[in-house]
Amino acid sequence: MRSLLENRKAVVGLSILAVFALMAIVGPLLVGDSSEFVTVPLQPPSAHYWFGTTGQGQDVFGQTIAGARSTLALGFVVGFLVVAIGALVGTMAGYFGGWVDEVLSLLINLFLLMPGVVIAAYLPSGPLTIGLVLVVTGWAWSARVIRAQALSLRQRDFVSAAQVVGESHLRIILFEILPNMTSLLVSAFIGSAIYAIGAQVGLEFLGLGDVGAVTWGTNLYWASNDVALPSGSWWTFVPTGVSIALVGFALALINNALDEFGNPRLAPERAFLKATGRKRLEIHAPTPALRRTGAGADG
Amino acid sequence: MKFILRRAGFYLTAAWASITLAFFIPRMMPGDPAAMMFARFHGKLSPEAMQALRSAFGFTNAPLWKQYFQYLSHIARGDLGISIGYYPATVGSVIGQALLWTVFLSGLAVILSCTIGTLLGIASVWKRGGWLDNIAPPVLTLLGAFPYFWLAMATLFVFGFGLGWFPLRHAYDDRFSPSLTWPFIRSVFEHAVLPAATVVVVTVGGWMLSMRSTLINVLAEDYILFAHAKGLRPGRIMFQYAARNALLPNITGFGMALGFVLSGSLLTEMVFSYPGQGYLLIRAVKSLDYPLIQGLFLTTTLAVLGANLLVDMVYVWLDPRTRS
Amino acid sequence: MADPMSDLLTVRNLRVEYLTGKGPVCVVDDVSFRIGVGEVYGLAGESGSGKSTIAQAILRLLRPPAAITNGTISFGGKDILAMGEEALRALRWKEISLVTQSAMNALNPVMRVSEQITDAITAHERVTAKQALDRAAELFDVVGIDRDRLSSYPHQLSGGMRQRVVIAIALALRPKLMIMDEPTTALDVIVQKEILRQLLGLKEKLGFSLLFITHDLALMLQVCTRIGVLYAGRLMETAPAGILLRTPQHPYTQGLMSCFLEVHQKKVARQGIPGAPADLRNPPAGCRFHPRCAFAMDRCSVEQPLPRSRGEGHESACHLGEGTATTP
Repeated sequence: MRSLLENRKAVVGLSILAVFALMAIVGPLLVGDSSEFVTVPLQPPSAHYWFGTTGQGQDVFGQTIAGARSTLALGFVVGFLVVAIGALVGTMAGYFGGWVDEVLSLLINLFLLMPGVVIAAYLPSGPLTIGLVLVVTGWAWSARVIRAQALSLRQRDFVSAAQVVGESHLRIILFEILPNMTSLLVSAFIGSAIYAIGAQVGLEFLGLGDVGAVTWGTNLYWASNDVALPSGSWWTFVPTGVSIALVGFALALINNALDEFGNPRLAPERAFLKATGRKRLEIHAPTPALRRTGAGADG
Repeated sequence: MKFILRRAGFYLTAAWASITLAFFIPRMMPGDPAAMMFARFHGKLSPEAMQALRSAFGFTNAPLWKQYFQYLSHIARGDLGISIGYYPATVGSVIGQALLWTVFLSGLAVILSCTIGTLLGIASVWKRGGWLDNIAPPVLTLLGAFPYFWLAMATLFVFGFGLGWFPLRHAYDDRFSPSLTWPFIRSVFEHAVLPAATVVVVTVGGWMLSMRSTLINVLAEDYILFAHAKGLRPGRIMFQYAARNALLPNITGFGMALGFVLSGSLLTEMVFSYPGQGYLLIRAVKSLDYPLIQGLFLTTTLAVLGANLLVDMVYVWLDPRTRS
Repeated sequence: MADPMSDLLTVRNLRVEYLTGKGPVCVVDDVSFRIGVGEVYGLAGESGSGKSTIAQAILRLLRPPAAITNGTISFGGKDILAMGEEALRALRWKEISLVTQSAMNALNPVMRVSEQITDAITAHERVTAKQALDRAAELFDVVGIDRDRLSSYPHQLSGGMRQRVVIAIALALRPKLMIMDEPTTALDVIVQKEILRQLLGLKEKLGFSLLFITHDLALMLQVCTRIGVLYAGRLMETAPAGILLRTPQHPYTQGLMSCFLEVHQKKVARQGIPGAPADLRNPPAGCRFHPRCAFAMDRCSVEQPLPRSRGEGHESACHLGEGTATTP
């Protein structure tokens, strides 16, 4: 954990995330009811209303802060569910192999191709629908990745040892296989959360969420409905968009840092560059020769 | 060869599954979808006409399994029913046009994004620690974190409304009618720039990072060391030895990306009023045009499956290990 | 005395370090040896002793964060460490070729074998594609592979065949020196013997020198003229093969010998060398071998022994038998 904190990317990512987490937790309490009508609609940013007002006279700043809670909460919950289901199906497929694997793989591949929007269109709008659709369309991807890992772990010695001793399959999965996949699971969780937040916002933008609630997605839905573009009211959609991007960016940075952790080759060789006085690592450069001595004394 | 057959088998199963799903979903809806469908015709048609229309759309009182087989036989003939919103046009004809535009836009965007991203990935690894390696990944990741449609709105705002460099909507200037003349083709491309650019900007970072990480792993392999020992030129080593191997895991991603864009382009098309499948779907949902929705679901899924099959064939062609 | 005129490769005081974020790690320390024309020089040691590092350092193939921080490497009068990229690329393969460990992975999986031979040829010589292909076919004859396998992909060939392909590629330009790093370790004994036999036959015919690197001391004794024994990045002992077999001076070499030989003159009980290889990030003070040495004295944990002559062409870096004199 400590060396993770030494990684620049991780630090930046975690800091950004912390800011938004704070926003999500205490924000709504500070801003009050952000869907309240405050003043003249479509006002540009001013000292009084930092991000201006929406097409319905609401405070954009307040809405941006308040929207964080719903969006992030649903995003992380869905992310967790996606990885949980993915881990369940993926591990079973990878560990048991044989016909179990064939059937589950077929299932995974089928769900990978399902267009979520269409399903969402058929169901009543609201966060529950969105959550359901996201989970249904999202679990397959993490299941595939986890299955691959489970497959390779199954060949390892410690699993054979446990089987020989007579441990039940369930115990092996829970105590041998899953603990060795921690970094993969964390990475999958982060990836799923990124997907969940993005897809959620997309569905809400289409009006499939609860348009009366204040979330980042619905903020953008209303901004579009209240003709933000033609009227030139960029402030109605920029803050929310930037917030979404920053959260996604932060999560991606953390994921990259975790990757570098597991695969040190990906990290830049700072010490080497410094010692050899170079700015870049040219892949094809020959091994450098530094501080050479002259020819030896003997013949 | 065995590989391809196996994949084809999977695709056929998946196709059948989507067709069946498309049949069942509207029928599982709460309430009477048929009644909702025909609500707009209320008062304008006699009960007999209504009954005739119902059977034309496949909502008969026959048992479910019979309806299902009737539906399957219709599909086999290419008959996807009649659209309500575009009545009396058939679903097939309406979708056909839209499908072309979507394939054009999505195809263009994905190919551009993949090519640019892959080349950027190679360039960043060539000179690791250089400005490209340091700046490009975080910047592209940040850009990629914006939702498609948001970037669409932003580019439209800046380049469309603001600077007026590119047209604001549709696939081509309304003054023209589709023909293979230069002004028309030029107009098509002008109108494709902003929507395609949006998709490219959002996705290029992913390609770059993916290629970069695969390439770094490949470069650590023994055969790269051997190639260097042979005294080959760096260009040959990078492309013929490293990149050719690094591309393989990324090719499968291409298929998935295509699928993702085909379903995600929906939002981009909406913002730009681009007459593709996505745009059509939104209008269909708004007007509760169930046959059209059903048809779109089907064609999108089949298109994605087709793209994946194509990608698999390319993979076999590229990786000799799959051929034995 | 070694005749500098007939020396092909001279390595002097070679030091290779990995410049990591946690500080430099020295993996090869003050290694010196020479290889003459037509000689077979063996470099023996456990895994992690630095043998492969030396092999790759000679051609400057080591990747970051490796750097050569001391010493000289000269080949045929040319200073390898001073060469630019172009000169180095011309040297590689044409003058010195390298066969890496596990040739299974030395071949590009997506490229036909013929192309992997011809591209080495065309990179250094002005020949037509047809000429290069003919050369490749001849090489296949030399190493004993059927010509119609030229258009195969690596995965279609067996391990032994792939090894032979790699050797064929290594011979393609008739280099003066061939470096072979564990060329037969991954193969079964019969194939191993066959390949070595062919190789030595070729060496006699074509007259190249060989730097033979392996952990298998028994094999080395049959094949090499002179042998250097490496431990934890330092040369412990160097001697002609016969002398090393009969009268090894260094405790490490003696330990290695007793691992496999049943009989010297009298029956000796088999014993391994206790302990684990030295950790190069934190090497033992003084002589690197002293924690595992049965003959270690107080001096050994303080002062690092320098190579001392023990006879004709025989050197050993050990304090044993030095008495109290500290002169080299």
